[in-house]
Amino acid sequence: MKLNHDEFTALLAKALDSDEKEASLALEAWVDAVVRETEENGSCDVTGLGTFRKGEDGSMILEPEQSLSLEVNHKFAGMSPIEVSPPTSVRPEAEEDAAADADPGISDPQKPDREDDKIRDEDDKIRDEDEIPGETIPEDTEQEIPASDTPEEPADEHDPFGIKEYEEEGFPDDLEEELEPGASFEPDAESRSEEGKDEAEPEFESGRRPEYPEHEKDTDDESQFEYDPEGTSDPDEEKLGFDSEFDDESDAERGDEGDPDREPDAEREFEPVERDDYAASDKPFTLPKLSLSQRMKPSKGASKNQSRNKSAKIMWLIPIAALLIVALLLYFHFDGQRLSRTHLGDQAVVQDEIPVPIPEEENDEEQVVQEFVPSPDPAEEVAPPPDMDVRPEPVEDVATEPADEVIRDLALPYGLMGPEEEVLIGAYTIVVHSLRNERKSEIEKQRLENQGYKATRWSTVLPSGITTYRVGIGQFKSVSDAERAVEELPEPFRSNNFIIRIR
Amino acid sequence: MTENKIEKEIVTILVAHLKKHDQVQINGLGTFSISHRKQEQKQEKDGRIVMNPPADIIAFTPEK
Repeated sequence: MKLNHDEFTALLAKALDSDEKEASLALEAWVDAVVRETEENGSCDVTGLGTFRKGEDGSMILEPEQSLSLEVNHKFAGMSPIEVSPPTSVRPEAEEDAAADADPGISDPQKPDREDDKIRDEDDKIRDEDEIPGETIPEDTEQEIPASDTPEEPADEHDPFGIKEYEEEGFPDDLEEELEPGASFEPDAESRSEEGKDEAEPEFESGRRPEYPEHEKDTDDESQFEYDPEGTSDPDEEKLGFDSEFDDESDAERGDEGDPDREPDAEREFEPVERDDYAASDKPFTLPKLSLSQRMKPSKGASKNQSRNKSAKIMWLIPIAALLIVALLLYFHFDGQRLSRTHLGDQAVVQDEIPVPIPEEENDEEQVVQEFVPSPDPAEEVAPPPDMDVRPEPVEDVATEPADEVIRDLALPYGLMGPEEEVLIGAYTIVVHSLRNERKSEIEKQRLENQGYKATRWSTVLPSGITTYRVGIGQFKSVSDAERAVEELPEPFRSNNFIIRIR
Repeated sequence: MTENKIEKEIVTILVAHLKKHDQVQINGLGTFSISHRKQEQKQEKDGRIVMNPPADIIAFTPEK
């Protein structure tokens, strides 16, 4: 509708309770004042309307007040840009977005709150730099792919359990604590042939110490396992058996002048030669604490054999335990898949399309699958078995197989016409009504439903605090699908709509 | 009838019609109208393609 000057004057006269001539004079006077002030001062504020400014070319420009702009744009107020495609250099996050776009209804394990699209991800806020101030875009379904979906790094073929890594870096403290106190990983029995020789001691002091950082930090253990050549310490303490190089080193640090009363066994317990062997060879020193506690051995030879046996056992036990854990995990994984097939209705049907050798107990299930193989007719594809749950619950590994993806997409009732599908929350829709009257919005929704459209209605709280009820038609997998559907819409919807993502 | 009251009444009538998306012409000043900006796709610097929402914007065409 167009309101010309005369009509405006008539309305003003009515508002001022005066005749039109007087109102016209008043209006002219106000216009002259505004123009003059803008010309002279460069701007003129009009409360409730905005600011008139002088443009570069000398013409007047109006900067409307924010509240007025919001009022005028109430239908689209709060909308923000939606991402149609990810960046060219695909980030992992963008891949997740794409996955969410591909299957918004299923990738989102929680039903999003479409009653309030003010809530949105922080990521979206950061991403949408050119966002229209105020609203929110209902895209929170994008970021909710669980982190467990990230692929794990493949294990080393020759070291699937990471033992090498532990050997190179040393076992973590908690693992070391699990070892028996007397356990010793002696790499070579011959390396002990020269043990007890004092000439190795200066080397140990001069250069090797930094290779044994555990000794520096384990000061408490040090006192606990203090060397006791006189045998005066408590026997229980000795059972723990950390005699070790460090005690001898501490002797050396104290200035080991040579104790005449020192027992020969105590001398033999000192094992710097091991380190020399490691130093001479190129092998990295492994398991520095493993040369602990020969003191609990009754005799040297027997103790060596015993410790070797223990170390060998432990070396075997670790991979065996790891294998057992892997086997258990695999068992539960496949068992869980089998259970999920029995509970997932048509989703399970889609999964079972891939021919998999099925054990005897699944034969019955396979028959069920064949009964509900999706037919070429989309209507039949949508129709679920009567005794099964229709709602596609999030399935962990459904999206991993492209064939399944295609079949499932065919089964989802995207489109412009038909009943509204709750399972398609997260799809895109074409908004054709944005109303402040809830009842009217419901009436419009019903009207559209009667015309056969998939009609969706939800509310949005605008930044001004006003609640707006929006009515959309159609549920589409992508924005481009929605754009194509817009071309099919009748007027006035075809020229007056916008596409938004349903929450 | 003060200037403030006149201005207030003028703005009230003008704003009321703009909210109804009416076009208002005032001689000596210009024409106020509402222009609709359609939603449009735009490519960002990082390669993302975003769809900007539509908007209804107040437009003012000064009288020459």
